[in-house]
Amino acid sequence: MRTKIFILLLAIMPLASCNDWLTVTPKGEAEAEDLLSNYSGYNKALSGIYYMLSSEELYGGELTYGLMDILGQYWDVSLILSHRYHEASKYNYTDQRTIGMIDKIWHKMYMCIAQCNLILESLEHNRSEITNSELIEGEAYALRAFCHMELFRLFGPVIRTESDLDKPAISYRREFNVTAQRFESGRSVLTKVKEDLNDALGLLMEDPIKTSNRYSDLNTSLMVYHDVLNYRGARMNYFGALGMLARAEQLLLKPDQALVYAERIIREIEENESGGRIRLLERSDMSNSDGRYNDRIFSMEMLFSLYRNDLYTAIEEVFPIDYAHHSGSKSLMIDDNLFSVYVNDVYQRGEGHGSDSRLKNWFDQGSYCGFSKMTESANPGFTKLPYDPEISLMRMSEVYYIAIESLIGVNNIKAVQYLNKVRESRNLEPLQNATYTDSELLEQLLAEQRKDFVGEGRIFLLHKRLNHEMYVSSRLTIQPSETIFVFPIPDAEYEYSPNEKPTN
Amino acid sequence: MTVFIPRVPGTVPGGLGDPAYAMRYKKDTEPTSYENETHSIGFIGNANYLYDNRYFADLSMSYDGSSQFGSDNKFAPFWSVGAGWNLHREKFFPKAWKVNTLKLRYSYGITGNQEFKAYQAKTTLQFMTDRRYNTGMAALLMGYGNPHLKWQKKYDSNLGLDLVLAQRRLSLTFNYYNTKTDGMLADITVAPSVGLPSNTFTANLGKIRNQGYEANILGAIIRKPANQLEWSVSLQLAHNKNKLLEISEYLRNINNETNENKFTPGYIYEEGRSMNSIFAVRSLGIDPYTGKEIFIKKDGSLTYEWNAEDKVYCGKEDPKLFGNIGTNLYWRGWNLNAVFQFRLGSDIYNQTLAKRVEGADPNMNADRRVLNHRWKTPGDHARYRDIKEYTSNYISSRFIQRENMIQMTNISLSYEFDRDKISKYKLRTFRLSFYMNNPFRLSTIKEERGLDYPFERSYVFGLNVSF
Repeated sequence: MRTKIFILLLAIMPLASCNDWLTVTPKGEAEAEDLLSNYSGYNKALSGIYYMLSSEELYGGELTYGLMDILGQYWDVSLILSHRYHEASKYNYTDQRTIGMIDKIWHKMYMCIAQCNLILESLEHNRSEITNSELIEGEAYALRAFCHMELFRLFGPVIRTESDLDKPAISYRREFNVTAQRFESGRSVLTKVKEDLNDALGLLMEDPIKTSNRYSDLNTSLMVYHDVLNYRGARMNYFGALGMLARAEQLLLKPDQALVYAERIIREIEENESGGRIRLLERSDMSNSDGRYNDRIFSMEMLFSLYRNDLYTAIEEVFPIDYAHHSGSKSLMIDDNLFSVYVNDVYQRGEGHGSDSRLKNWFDQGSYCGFSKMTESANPGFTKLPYDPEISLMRMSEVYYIAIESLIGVNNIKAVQYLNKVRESRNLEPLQNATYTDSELLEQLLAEQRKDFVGEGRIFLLHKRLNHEMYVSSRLTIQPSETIFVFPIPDAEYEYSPNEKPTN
Repeated sequence: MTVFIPRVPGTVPGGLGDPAYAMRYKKDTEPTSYENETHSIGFIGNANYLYDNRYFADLSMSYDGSSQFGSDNKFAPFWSVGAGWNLHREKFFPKAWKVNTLKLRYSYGITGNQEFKAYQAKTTLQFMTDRRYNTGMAALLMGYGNPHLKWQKKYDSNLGLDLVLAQRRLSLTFNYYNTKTDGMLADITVAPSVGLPSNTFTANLGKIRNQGYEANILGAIIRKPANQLEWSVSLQLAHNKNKLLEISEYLRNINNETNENKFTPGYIYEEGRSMNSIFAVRSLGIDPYTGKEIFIKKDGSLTYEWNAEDKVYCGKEDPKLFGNIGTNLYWRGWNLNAVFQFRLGSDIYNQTLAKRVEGADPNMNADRRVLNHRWKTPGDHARYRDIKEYTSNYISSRFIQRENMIQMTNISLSYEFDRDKISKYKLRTFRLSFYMNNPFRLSTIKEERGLDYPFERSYVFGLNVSF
């Protein structure tokens, strides 16, 4: 039998303009090239960085009231073995849950940096066509500097002497690419931080925050809306960049330079004539006897904050309104013991603690003590609530604290004057000028900051910078050491970069 | 129920008309949506030819376009040709050989434009729907688009032989293949400091050739249906040779990083070598006088100092031969089945030796070799270095060992009762069985198994009853 079989099959679908048919951009995504071609796309990309910074894993939680204030010894979870922060509170950085938090901080901060670099590289091609490109570019430069400086403060070595600044710390990324870089010394990182901040300042010279309220919306049209013109206080702005420069000089062991920036901020904000400008708290701000109607987070003081839309929901979970709402492994509770530490030790009973606006407004005293610094305000029916869901990243009091620290040993009289300015604003009696030694003055300064920064994640890194013992209560302190102050860099970083893990 | 209000500050101009991007919606609800749109178009052709059941040929072609491919090249051509010859149907083929089938086959094909998705070639951002930043919609970097990405092309050729003998009791299949992949696509992992959400991006690895053969033999050694007895054995054999013909720039960069590793050998890719090559500094062993390791530098001179520059090719993990052996014996309801696995001639960097013997702290519980084989006093001809040395040990050829391994993967025995005999108890089947995995393993190297997850061996007794 001889057979031949031949089959041909052909299927054709519509031929017309094939390439258009095959071009699909999924909704919910955009190619960077398309997005970063107009003002609206740049605003979204910039909001993306703030979105990430204000997330729970960064300043919306761990880097403020969460992990950082656990390490700062504000909260006590020593008896709750199942608490997610239990091991962290003992500075056990080999615990898997703690490592998980730390690795996310490293990764997400560098994700923010990558996005800054993407924005900055793209602006090279089209900045002349983009409305408000100076604000966009200035914010991106300053945010890149901010993220690197924060990574350095967390993961870098303790800086006691000039030679510690030459130890390898982290990499400073200025390009959007996929090549891992070698770690640079702290000096090199901080020098680049200053370069980026100075570039930012140049671009932010016309920042509207210099002449208007920190929360104003300067947009005139909802159809052509620029996010960069709304609520400048909750964005990296001109004053924020100046504040970061002061911090960088402190880290570089240049207190005299830090003082120059601090006093410049104090002077320049006073030049702003508008009613809602950034300023130090005043006694009259806290006049309402019911704390819920006061601006409890002192938002008028914030040079640079993050706006976290769902902050109040998150805060309710971590700091519940009563015992019934507590979760054993997640909530942070101020029990009677801890509250008495606050009253007697942190807020220094016997030195006018009773009148302190902070103790009065942030702690719901009674049978149960809730931490209400960041809870939602009661709406008194005004058009503007007393405060918004903001997380402070730098406030006016810190500017004074920087100035004070620089003046200790140089001009103690002026240092005490500045300290009293802050104390008075918080409704405390001024310290008498008399005879403070340098170290007594430093202790007074630390005590004042301890009262201010509860819930703001600042105190741990302050102690790291000064290599100072951690204060738990008047009876208990923790010795300073690299072991407690230096976060471990993630293993994956060593595995996929030219940096090899240091062996002990 | 969702309400989409498009005219509020910060809603998205430019066509993001998806409810998930609405700024306001009914209390306590959150709209979600899912959309995945792809467009494709295809042309296919297929032709077969058969002559007298002796010769056959086929040709197939396709030309596919898809929106999932990158934006510059949306079409993926594919074609293959094949031919075969049924030798056993030829007149000249001796009938006396009792061959049931003897067939020769050959095929060659090209698959072009192996798909990668658009976002792998272009940097993309994603709009976040769960939260805004104040009133602003947030867009976050999603993937790094590799601008150098090119299509992967695969060339396959295959030569085969099918043989069936002895009333179909013995069959044999043999295949020889040669596959060349040009621009092989792979996900490259990067350091978290690069700042990519997934820590990976897609790149071309280069040109890779895989050459090898596979043989399948299946034989019924005893087949006596009258006595309800059958014993069959199967053997699968394979050999694969992997060779990097050309490597990409990215791979070269990875090499440079891996090359600097001191303690754990990563993969180093070198043209002309296998992708699974091991590079290490050659070692002469432990100096009996000092207890230190003697290394051979690239130029052949000796040194105590380890240097990453002196790493050379020291072997590859690819086995010379690997495969399975299976056997099944059935007799009057009893069934005994066993499967073996073997791997011959691969080089392994023995991490157990490096980390648990030489790297072990003898003050803690450790491998017996720590005590017996480490150097203690001058004059000791020891296999492992000074017992007082606790530091991590460098990548050395001393830890590379040749592995020949055979293991019994599992064994099972079962008995099924005769259906006629159990039917009076209203049972349809009644079967007892015993199963065990990994009963034994023979290997030329001693390595710890289950360092991260405990190695387990299971025994299963079974009873199957159906009514």
